[in-house]
Amino acid sequence: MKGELEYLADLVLLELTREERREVAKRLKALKSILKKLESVEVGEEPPFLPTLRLKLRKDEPRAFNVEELLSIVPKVKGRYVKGPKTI
Amino acid sequence: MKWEKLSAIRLIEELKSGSITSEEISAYFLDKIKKVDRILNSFITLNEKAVEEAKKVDKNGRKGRLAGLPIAVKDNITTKGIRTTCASRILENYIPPYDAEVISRIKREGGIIIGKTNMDEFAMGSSGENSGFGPTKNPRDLNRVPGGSSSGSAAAIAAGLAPLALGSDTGGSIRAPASFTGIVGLKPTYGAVSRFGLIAYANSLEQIGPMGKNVLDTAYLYSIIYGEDEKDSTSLPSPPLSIERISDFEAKGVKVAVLTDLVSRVDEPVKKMFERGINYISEIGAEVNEVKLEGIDLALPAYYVIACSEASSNLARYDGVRFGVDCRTNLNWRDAYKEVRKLFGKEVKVRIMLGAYTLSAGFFEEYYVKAVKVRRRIRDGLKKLLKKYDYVAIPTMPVLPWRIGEKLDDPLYVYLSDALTVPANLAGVPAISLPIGLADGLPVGIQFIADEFEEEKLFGLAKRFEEKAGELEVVDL
Repeated sequence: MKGELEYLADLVLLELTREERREVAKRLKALKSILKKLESVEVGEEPPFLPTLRLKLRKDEPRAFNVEELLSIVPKVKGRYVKGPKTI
Repeated sequence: MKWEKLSAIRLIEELKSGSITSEEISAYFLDKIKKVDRILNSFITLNEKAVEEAKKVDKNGRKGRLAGLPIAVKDNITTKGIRTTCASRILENYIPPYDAEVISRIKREGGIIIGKTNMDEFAMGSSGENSGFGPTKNPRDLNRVPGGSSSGSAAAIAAGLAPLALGSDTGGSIRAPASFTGIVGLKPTYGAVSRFGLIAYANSLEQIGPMGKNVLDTAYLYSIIYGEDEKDSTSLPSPPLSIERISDFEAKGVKVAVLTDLVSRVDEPVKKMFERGINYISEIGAEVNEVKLEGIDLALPAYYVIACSEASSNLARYDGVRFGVDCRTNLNWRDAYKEVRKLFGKEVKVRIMLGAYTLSAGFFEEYYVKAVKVRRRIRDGLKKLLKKYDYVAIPTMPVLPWRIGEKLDDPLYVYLSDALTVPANLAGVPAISLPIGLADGLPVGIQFIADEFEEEKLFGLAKRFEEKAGELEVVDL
């Protein structure tokens, strides 16, 4: 379990402390015991169920926007400019 | 006047008549939260501008169907200018620049967002114990869990800290806490309520829904938030909903199917209360039938595979660059990413890892493909049943609320407690939970399930049931 746990954690870019490792292993074991029921299930060619997406694209037309409103959501503003972090 | 004792609908009448202002009622509830929530921990962030916003609603004549009523909102629903954390330290400082569609609809009707409620981190949990901001307590017994993941919303309603609340339900996250705290909660049909602005856990399963002290209050909030939204490509048009028709609903002759396979597995005190609930159903004139649904025991494994697979993908975005705390570091990309993700709680880490496992080569066919096919079978089975019967009735939770911390060494117990709520999420059908009464002083809920877009019918039966079973009083803390 320990090897698999570390492999999985690394795969999803997670780091586990020693205390977390014990707890996460316990919970993963519990969930896997639930999943075990699926192993013996026979499935055929039936289609899977996933909710339908209805892609409705809006018309590609220009929209007016309010500069003050847009700037109001920016963390740092100087006058009418967005202030970004210093990079050099 | 103890305003929390009144129903939300009555409070709106008071607001409209002018016997109280939105400013007064908002200040009243904020004050109560500040006094009581030190015990409950049901709110993460309060809207400090709530009273100011209420004054504006008053100035404009308390227009709209909410007329200045304060509403609590689960902290995974974005609110412009109000911190939205998902109860995770990784989003501790996130202030959304936009409102979720449901929030826009509430504001359009004159609702006041009073605060953001505690929850299991990223909605992953059934008890309310997995919050990065500490567990919420159950107002009915402060030593016990309130249920999750919408723990704070449910506890706030039960303790009279808000007249109405929003929650979200991926595998029972509205209904479980509604049952454990003795309030009413609806998981709507998939697509009936816009998910625009709901921070994603498992997109194909989750829905935002209303929570209230009683059926009509809950229906009233639902009537404001439901409806198609062009910003959510999974949203669908719903038939109109009428509070009057719900009030006048005739239960005589409706057919209710009880899933005996599921009922037989619940704990004895819950079973006894559920039998009482079945008697109430008969007494209001409905016809009760015992039925079996093949394959329903596969709902829980299918749910955990699908939910964790989607979570693993959804939560990949928290990298400290696009989302999550800002991580200025000299580390390489991989280590920096890991550094930020240390802020996830244990349960979130478990589910991300399980999702990566079920989606990985070698296990994809064995778990994910099977799970989505089992989901089809469960949906088809439930829908077939709902053609023959008007409703399905089962207990909401198989157990009574446990003591906080009591099940930390028994995670399987907690995961299994979702067994009765996940079928409705897999099938995409609506389900409501409302109290039957108290067992050993703790609330027990009944769950009614109906076919897609039959929320009005669901509220109708629930209303008649509530008249028989009675509402549970708000707890004085």
